Amino acid sequence: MATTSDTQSDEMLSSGREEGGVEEEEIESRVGISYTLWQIRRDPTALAGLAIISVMTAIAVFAYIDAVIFDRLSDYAFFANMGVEQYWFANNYWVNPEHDPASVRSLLPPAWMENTFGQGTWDHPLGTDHRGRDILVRLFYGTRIAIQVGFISTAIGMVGGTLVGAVSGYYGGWIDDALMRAVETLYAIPFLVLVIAFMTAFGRDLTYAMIGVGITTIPVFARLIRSRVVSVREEDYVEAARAAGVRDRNIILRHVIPNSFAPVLVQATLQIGVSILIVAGLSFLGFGVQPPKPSWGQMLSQSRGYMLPNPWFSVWPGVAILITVVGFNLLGDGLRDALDPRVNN
Amino acid sequence: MLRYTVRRLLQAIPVLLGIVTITFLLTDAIPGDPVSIMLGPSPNAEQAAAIRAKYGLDRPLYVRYLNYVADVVQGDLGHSLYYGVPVTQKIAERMPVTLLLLVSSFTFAILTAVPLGVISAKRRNQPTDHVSRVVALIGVSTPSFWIGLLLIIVFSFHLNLLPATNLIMPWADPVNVDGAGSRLDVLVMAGEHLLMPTITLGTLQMAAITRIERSAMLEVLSEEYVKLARAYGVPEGTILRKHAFRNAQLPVITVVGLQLTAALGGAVLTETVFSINGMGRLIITAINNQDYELVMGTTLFFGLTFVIGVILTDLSYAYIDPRVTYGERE
Amino acid sequence: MTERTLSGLSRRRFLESIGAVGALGLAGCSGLGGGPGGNGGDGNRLTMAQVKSPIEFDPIVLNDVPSDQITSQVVEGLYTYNQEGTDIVPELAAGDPEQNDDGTQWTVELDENATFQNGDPVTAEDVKYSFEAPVKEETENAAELNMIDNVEVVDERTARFNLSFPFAPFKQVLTWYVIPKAVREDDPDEFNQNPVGSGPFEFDDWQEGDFARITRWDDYWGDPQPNLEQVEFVPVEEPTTRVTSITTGENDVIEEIPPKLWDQVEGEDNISIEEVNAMGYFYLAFNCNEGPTTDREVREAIDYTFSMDQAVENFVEPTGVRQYSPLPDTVAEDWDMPIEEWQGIPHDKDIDQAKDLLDGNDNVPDDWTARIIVPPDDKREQLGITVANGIEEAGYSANVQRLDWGAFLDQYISGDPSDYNMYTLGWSAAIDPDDYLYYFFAEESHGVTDGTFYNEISDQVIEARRTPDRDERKQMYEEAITTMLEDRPHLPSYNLKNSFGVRDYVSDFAAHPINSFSLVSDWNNVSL
Repeated sequence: MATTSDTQSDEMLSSGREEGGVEEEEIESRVGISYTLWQIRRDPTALAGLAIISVMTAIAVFAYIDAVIFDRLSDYAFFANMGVEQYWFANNYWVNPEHDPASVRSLLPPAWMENTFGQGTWDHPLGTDHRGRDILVRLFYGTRIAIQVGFISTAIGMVGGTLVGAVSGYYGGWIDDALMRAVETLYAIPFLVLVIAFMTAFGRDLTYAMIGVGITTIPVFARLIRSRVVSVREEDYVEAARAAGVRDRNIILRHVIPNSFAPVLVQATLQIGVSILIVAGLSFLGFGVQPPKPSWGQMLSQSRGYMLPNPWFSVWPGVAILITVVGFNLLGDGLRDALDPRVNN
Repeated sequence: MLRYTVRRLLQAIPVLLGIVTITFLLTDAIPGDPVSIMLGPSPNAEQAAAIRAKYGLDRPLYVRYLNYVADVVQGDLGHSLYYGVPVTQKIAERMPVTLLLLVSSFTFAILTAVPLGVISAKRRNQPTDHVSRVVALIGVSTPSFWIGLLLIIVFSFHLNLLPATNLIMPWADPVNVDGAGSRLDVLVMAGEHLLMPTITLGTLQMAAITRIERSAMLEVLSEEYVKLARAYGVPEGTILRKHAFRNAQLPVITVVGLQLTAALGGAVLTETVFSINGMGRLIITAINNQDYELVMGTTLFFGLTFVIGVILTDLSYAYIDPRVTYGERE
Repeated sequence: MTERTLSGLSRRRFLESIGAVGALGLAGCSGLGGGPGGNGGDGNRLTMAQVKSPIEFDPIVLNDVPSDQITSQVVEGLYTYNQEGTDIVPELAAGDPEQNDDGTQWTVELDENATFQNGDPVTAEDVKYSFEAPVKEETENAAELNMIDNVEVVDERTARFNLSFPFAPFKQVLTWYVIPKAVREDDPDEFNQNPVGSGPFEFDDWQEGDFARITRWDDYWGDPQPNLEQVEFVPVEEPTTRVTSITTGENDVIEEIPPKLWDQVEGEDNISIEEVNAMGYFYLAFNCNEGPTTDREVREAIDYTFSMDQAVENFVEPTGVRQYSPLPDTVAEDWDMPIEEWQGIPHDKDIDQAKDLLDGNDNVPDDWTARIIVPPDDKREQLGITVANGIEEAGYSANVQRLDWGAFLDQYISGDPSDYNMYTLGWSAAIDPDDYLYYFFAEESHGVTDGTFYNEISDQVIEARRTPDRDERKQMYEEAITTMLEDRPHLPSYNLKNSFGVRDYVSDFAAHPINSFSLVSDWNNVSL
């Protein structure tokens, strides 16, 4: 078995990036997606993951409709009154956020607790932040950012990476070398640093965060696809297609990519979780959605100044991130196990 | 082996050049002007032009790029506008801090993850396995900086047990360490300061390695030769120690190397949470002050660290696994 | 966020930073000094937590608060500010400065005992060098001294400043630091890392981001000798950690108490808060160049949409106080200004009134969205949000953009209403009313330090800085400020405090309105 260390690295890279999932190395390439999804049905942890993701996505969609559709005009950067006024739903049907600046109660603890700023109240079940804004409301609307960023940036990385990897693996030779060196370069700069530099250059808002994270994700998918393609390329049916005069582009699109797609789906699911973590980190450092729009990472960043009087302010956004990312990891693990029955029971 | 090493090193050169190019172009695209940031709101036009000329900011892009590459090749990373010292000096000052943090967090991660993964695989689907899997799952799903915040709240603010900021270098002069009388004091204090940042940065690595360790062990344990050994009545402990463990470490080593990029990014966050003056905060300071050459220098440093890390893991991989050949790619 | 910008902005004529340290005046600190201090009260060493790390120590080039706080203990100026921060008193100088009739020539005689830490006497040649180097070397500080045409060495101990134009506030420029020419010329880079001055403390050692240490100079030429033997400055950026570090006794003094932790610090038995109103001016400014806010009536309507008193009470106190004019109360009182009359000018919140004014105004489109830009600082952002809320209540839209310093500094002086209709900003300065008017309301500052483009009082402000007579100047300033307050290009908002948490075993530690704090001076001497 004349494995070069390079190809091993490549395969490891593709999966090692998302901290831990590496097992798809030997995944059966012909296993179909529908079959995989069908398998999930019997895996309770994967179903739990799916449930978490569904709930979070539903919240995100709802928040998106509320914040963007209902209040398109004022969505842009303005949060009237303590930060949630533009939310039609929160204003009309939810806990009533404070409207009068004179009676703002900031840094309240969760409802069942008491701190130096007073007794918590069920009007603000999880407490309030340093400006008296309801933490639960902000967590709710922050879901939109997390989910949106996770999906979109991963989609960018997946599409870009799939193309690069497929072309690279299919043609080989100098194209392969050039593309892989480029991908390695991209990979060699720690993604957080790369995205920060990218956002400083182009803009510190959400769009660039998503594009930046998407670009840094390209190597993950490119390497994964490439290693699949290299083996698929030698399969009989590809040889046959080539012999029959089918054009390279069609071979790549019709045969190579579809047959490599299952592991990509697994990778993408796990990668969404990673992207959410990265964007939370970016927001924590001030490179993400700009205040007063709520995002979880930014809430954590703001909470740092108030860890003494109200530590709960620092607890909740982290819990929200944790639950969401766990959801994606559970589903991703489940999908991977379904793809690769050997490791699973 | 030597030829292989040389070849790996040579392969790193285009990557490093690529890093220089990417960072150069990115920093050049940063809007605004370091000189106006430096001068504040009332720049005097002549003064600004003079400063620009002094740092060569008035020359065309390709000239600056070629000059920069030529300088980098000679080991000159330029001059930090913000700190007023050479970039290399600043990096040399900050680098030990970050390296200390990285080394300690990886040590922590490996020392906890490997036993955890092995036990988990050995007691598959037993309570120990479930606990360790849940721990690992939470570990890979938690933002590291949040762990840092929670640790600070509990251990610094409430229990008042551990310091919440800064690192102390174990080799620091006791005279310069507030409250330290002797070398021993310095070492103890260094340990206290290092504990929480290590856990913060190391948790992700720990969880990731636990997961890969477990699955690698499981895979090896299902190999034919292990089954055969079992059939011959070789004790399970011996199988684990003698056969399975070593073979299972190959993917683990690769993952450890690849965790570096996550860890370097994590270092930026960890240093921010604990106000540690390492490379991570240096790059943030550099970016916020549009200190171009410092941004490029620090990014290059991060890239270099990663490339070296990957080469080292590849080499140790080759060292551990005699089956790996060092031939050209087929 | 941008450290350099923030700190860079903190000197006179630079905009107030994140609200960290209040003003540092022009150069000098008094002969601050330190003496025996101690860690935890056990000796003579004082440990003090700063908000940020210093980065350099050469007064010719340094331009940030933390660096200045340390350097000012090591070097001295010809003059320094008195305890109240209302006037200058001699430090290296032998007596008051003499000025000629039109205020273009100032002569200062040096104290005959004044000596640098290397043993050399302080000479007029050193004075000349120190005042001319920033302009010659085009350092960031050049703009503070560029009214000086040249400095004449009259004799060994007498220096004469010839100004390019009459400049009434010149005496505060005389607080600029004096450093030994020979030492700095020899190796400027070394001087930046290890400065030599004539102050009561000698520079000892430092590590960027870690610590900076000064020790008592036992042969200090002046009075009094500091009680403290050594002072160590430690940067602790996180406010919460800084507060914790004093409750645990890790630090003896900490700089800047965050508002939400104020009560907690005050409640600690063994910690007290030393505070003094700084010399600053924070305000909401309107774009008077273009857009609806060029109309005086619109500005008045916006004044009606919210209560500035309420906003300051909610978001600034107890770390600052309400201010009703561009002048800090200390300056206003010193100049005997009609503070009470000014207090009556701003309106209370009255949405109906605001609505009437805005609805009836042709300059305000029905779908107007006011754009308010704020720097990255919570207090100023909250002020912006308060105004935006009020405008929404009055039936219009408003958005608040919190910008990084770099982007903010680019935008707020453009005069373009698509960049801003309003902005919030702040300013730290020293003792002359000119500091608080010229840079905002003189035509020549428009687009440089001023984004309001308001012209009504420009002539008076420029005239006043060229008039040597104090009574005439007062008259001009009083009229100008009253006009400005009624026209509302700015709505004055608040002034910050310089606040310090101090352990009870530290005695005589004093906050200072301009110099931030004082360790040793004619009026205090810190000890443990």
